Amino acid sequence: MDVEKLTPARIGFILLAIGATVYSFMIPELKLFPAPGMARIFTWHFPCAILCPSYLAVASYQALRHNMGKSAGRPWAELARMDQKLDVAMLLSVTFCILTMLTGMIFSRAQWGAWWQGDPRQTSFLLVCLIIGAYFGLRSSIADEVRRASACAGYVLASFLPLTFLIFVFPRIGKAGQTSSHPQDTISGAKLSFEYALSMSLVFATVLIAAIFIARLALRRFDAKTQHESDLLASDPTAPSARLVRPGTQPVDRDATS
Amino acid sequence: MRRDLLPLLQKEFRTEFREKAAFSAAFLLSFAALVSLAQAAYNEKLNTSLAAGLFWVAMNFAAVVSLPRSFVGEEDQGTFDLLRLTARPESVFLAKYLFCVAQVLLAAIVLGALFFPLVGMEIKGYGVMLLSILGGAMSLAGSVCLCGALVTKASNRHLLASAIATPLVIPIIVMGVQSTRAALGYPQSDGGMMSSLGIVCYGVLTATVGPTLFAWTWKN
Repeated sequence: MDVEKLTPARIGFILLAIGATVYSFMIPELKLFPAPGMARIFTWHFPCAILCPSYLAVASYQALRHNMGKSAGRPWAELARMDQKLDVAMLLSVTFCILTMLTGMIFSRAQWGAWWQGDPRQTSFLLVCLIIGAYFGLRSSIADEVRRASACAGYVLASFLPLTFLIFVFPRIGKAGQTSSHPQDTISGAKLSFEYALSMSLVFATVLIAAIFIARLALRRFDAKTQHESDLLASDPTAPSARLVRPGTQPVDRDATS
Repeated sequence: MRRDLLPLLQKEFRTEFREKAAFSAAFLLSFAALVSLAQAAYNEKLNTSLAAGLFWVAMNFAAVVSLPRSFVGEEDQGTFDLLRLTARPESVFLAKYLFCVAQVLLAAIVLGALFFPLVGMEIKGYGVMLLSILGGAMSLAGSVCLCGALVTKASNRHLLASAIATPLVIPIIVMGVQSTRAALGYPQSDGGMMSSLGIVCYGVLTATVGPTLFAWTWKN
């Protein structure tokens, strides 16, 4: 391991992650559940459930920026970066969606003896997962990156309303709201004990920092790839990537370079 | 926009009267779904929730299979570029959207008129039922049309359009089931009219936002 890479911020994050993980196992059990110790999983379940829609909102914002930028005639390099941000946000949201479902299923199995209960929130998160999955299906089906970017941005914006409905409305309406195993007022009614609130905050901070780190890493890799492509284009205009002329980029004058 | 819209709408209906593909596909799919459901429910007394659910599942599949054709078909025939040259994207979307609304309405009327009597259900709230069918047609047409428009350049567009549209229409199905259940006289039904209004609002929203989203993806 390269010791020089251990900056104070990274050391701080590692300590936070260790502290949050250890503390989440040390908080008191909740006696009202059949398996009181397993209630601690809530401190991991809830932050993931919050971060999933948060990253979906980020993806929608990037999709809106992409489409508005395209209408305003912004160069492709900028639009491509927005598209990359959108993709990273969708990737993080699906990761958190799956983590939410997994932690929820483990809790459900431990407390009520069934992996799947048909709870409205379980169902709604599964549908959210399907919508995000459809996004990745769409993304992988369009070869041209300009068209892929605009189709994906369009899909993310089109799915904003159904996702809002599924996450915030569906679990609360009619019979679904009354039969759900998820209490509605634990957070808003300040019913969470101090230990649980502290542990949840620590886990939330850890997961959020990790997600931001992953997003920045992905964007840095994208920038490096773009830089490599443009270097290749400058050095060898006959390379396959040199034949592509993208909106907002200057076509290469091959006679001049040769 | 009206100057663009009317000729485009006429074009959609003229093409349909010439080919008779979209309406017959919607009718056949609805009818096939109806026969299958009636067969599955033979000699069984369905409750209102199950009947409403089956009705909307059949509506969903009729829509997601037949509606994307309006956009994907243009790409298959190579006529999209002609539309790009001659019309504004908002008008193209609205013309196709209105055509799709008509198509889903026809499917819903056929399905509703035959399915509920066949499974022994009586519609008690016609107002709620009509409102939910109208809102459902608007919402389904808006969502599925947009998905069809997004996948026009994809490699496996026919399959993909249905695949990406299905999860998007789930909220419509949820609200549709709630309002239809209320229209069928479900005893603990709460907010049947609210669900009907909700689905109409959803439809209005898709009709409003759809043309802008389509215009963004149209210019590549």
